[in-house]
Amino acid sequence: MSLTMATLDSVQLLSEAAFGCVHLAAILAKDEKTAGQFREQFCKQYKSLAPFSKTDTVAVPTTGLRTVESLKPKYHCLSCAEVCLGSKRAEHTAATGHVFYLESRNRFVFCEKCVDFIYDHTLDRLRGPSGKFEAIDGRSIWAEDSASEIYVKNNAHKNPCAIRGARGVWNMGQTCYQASILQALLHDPSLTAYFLGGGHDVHTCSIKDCLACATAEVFMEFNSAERNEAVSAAMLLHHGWQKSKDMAGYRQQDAHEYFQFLVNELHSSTPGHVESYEKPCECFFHQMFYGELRSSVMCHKCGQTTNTHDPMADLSLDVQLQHKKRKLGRSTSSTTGTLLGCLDSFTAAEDLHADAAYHCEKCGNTPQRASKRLQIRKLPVMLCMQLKRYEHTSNSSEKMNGHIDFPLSLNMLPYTVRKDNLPVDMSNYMYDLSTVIVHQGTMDSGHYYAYTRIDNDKWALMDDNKVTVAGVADVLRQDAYLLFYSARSIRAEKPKK
Amino acid sequence: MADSNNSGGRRPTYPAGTIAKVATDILNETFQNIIHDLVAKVHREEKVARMRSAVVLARQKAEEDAIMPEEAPSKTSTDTKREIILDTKKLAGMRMETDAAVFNRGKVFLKGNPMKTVKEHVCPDCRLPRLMYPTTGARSCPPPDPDVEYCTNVPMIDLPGHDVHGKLFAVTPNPKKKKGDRDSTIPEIPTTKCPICPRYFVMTRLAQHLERCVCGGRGGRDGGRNKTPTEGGASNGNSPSSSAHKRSYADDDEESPSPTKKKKLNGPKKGSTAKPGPSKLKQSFTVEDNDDDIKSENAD
Repeated sequence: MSLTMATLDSVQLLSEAAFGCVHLAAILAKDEKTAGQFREQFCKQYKSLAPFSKTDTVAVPTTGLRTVESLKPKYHCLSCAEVCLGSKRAEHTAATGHVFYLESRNRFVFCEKCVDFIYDHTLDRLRGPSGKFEAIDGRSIWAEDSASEIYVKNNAHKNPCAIRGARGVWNMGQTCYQASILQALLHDPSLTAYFLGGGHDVHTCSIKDCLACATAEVFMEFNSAERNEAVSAAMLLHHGWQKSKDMAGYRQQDAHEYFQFLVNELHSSTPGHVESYEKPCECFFHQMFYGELRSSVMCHKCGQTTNTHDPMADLSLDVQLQHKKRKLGRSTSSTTGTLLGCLDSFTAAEDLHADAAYHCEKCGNTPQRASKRLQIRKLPVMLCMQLKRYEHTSNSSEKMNGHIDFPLSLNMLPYTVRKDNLPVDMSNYMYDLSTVIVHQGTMDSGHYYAYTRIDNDKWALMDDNKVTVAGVADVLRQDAYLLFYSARSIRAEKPKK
Repeated sequence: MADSNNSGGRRPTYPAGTIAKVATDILNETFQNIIHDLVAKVHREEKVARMRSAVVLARQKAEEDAIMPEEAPSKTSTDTKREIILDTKKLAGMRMETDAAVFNRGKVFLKGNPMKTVKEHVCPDCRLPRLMYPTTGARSCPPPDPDVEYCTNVPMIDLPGHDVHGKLFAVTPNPKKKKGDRDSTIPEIPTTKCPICPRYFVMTRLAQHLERCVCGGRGGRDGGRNKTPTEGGASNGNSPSSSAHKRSYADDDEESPSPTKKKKLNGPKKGSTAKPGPSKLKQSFTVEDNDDDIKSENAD
């Protein structure tokens, strides 16, 4: 038998109860068959209650409206096919003796004997990283090896408990662009796991002025919980200057440009990355930051569509368009622009007017009227969106101030290339706001600061080294420049063409 | 939860089948759902935290009983640095009960509903109770029991002029003040070593120096030690950069004492703005000198 090492994960399991409640324990600990059946039923129900997208092909009854009893959450019995409202649950249990229900909105398990929601970590594990059910036999993790976990837990070097991630980044003099972008990255669990888990080997890396090494250094300092003051990113700054003439020097930079620069450098300093456009790159940063855009051009004459695919590290959204429309009173919807509106116009089909612009091959390579449409083909784990607030005309550059509404969570499905016929589990496309970067000041000079989500639900304002409490309402009120959204669930790459 | 039906007395009722009825029903149920989801989320967080607290306490109790006696003369050996040896055999066969949970052969089972049986959150890492409110600032509460040691992961503090840890914002160190005169309660912006040369700078001024240092690294590679006297406040132009590079040679001898040297050297220099000292090399490690350096640069 191989020696199973006490992993960080299994050490964490030490603080989990074996089962969500005594009644669930009675079923899951009874025998393998009963437990297996229950798990299977749970997985089935869990999957079927996923928030599926409405498909275009679903027949809407044309004769009269469909009657919906109630919009309230429904409770799906985990022992039979019964679906009932909360008020009818007790009746069903009294009549059948079935105890467990899956609630339809959040997919939590309800125990009628406890008369409460129960949270069982083994069932939670079955939910797995969405889409795939992780078949872990709850017991084997515990069993005989829990002694070694206890040993690790009691004797490992422990950092004192602290508010995680509530640390600033020093502004070394006009480097707030760097500090704010770092704040957007430093709180991401995948990046943290990558850098702390030795994803980039600092000791054997032979790249000169490697930005990944410097970034790893910042992550390590940031996560050493011994101290809670701001961290320094001097090495990262220095290496960045060495790598790029554009970024070098004691002056203000555009945070968005810095983000692109940093991501690009991180990507190219990763062993095994692929630079060419032909082969898909499998490297960590590619999965993390790069999505893919599909640009399709349709000839108006013959209807021929040509697609091209381009990698994207972020979405640059035109807020001017909305702004101008509002000024002209053409926009009917609301007084403020919205992020969703920006995304809508980003992915909307647009006519290519200039006659000579598009030559359709099918129409004998003659110039044709055509329309072009951008859609997202692949979504990154971390999605950066820039609200283009700077307007450059031939003789002047101007910053557009003003609020653009953005949501705390975002469904990206409507902006992707999707097969319309299949309902899709929308939870795979949900993104949660993680960081908001605000630019204060004018076109030429100003200051960046970041609002960052800490600990799931709390927000902090990261103004260089100063970290202060922020409320969700404060965050949503900001005139954002960059928005960072993180995928709620990281799904396995679907092997598709 | 959230199943209170038709409780609102003032709710207007509309005859069935009207648009008004459908619209109010949809609106009401949508609001109920929003509340339902919010409550469900908070409930989950709270209940999971209490479940873990129950488990942690039960496990702690069991482990305390299973500590090898010879290794633990006192029960409080957890806070010493000594390695804890647990009688794993005893632990594996042990059964132990608390109000909220049962420890049985390495696993912990819940007893009853933790929402009722558990009263406080316990940190799974340090096993100390957690404070639910910050101790100072907005929405603060004094600790429920002043004698109890709490987990150091406390709620974020919201107090003007202070950060989330309750510290005052760091200020730029004032070189004119002596160490002793400085208010120790106000944190100062620390100094950091330049990534290229061995000099130390106030954090917020590093980029400015780095720019010159980087240019120097490229241009004045053979700017030798001999240039020392031209450096400092007296001469400007290209020399600071090359001299900055020169220091990296000097680094070899001067490296280790730099942080302590800083303190020592500060004393005699205090109060006098006259900068040209005989040893520029040593001065370069002081914050004050750096200050002057930058000033002269700016005046350039």
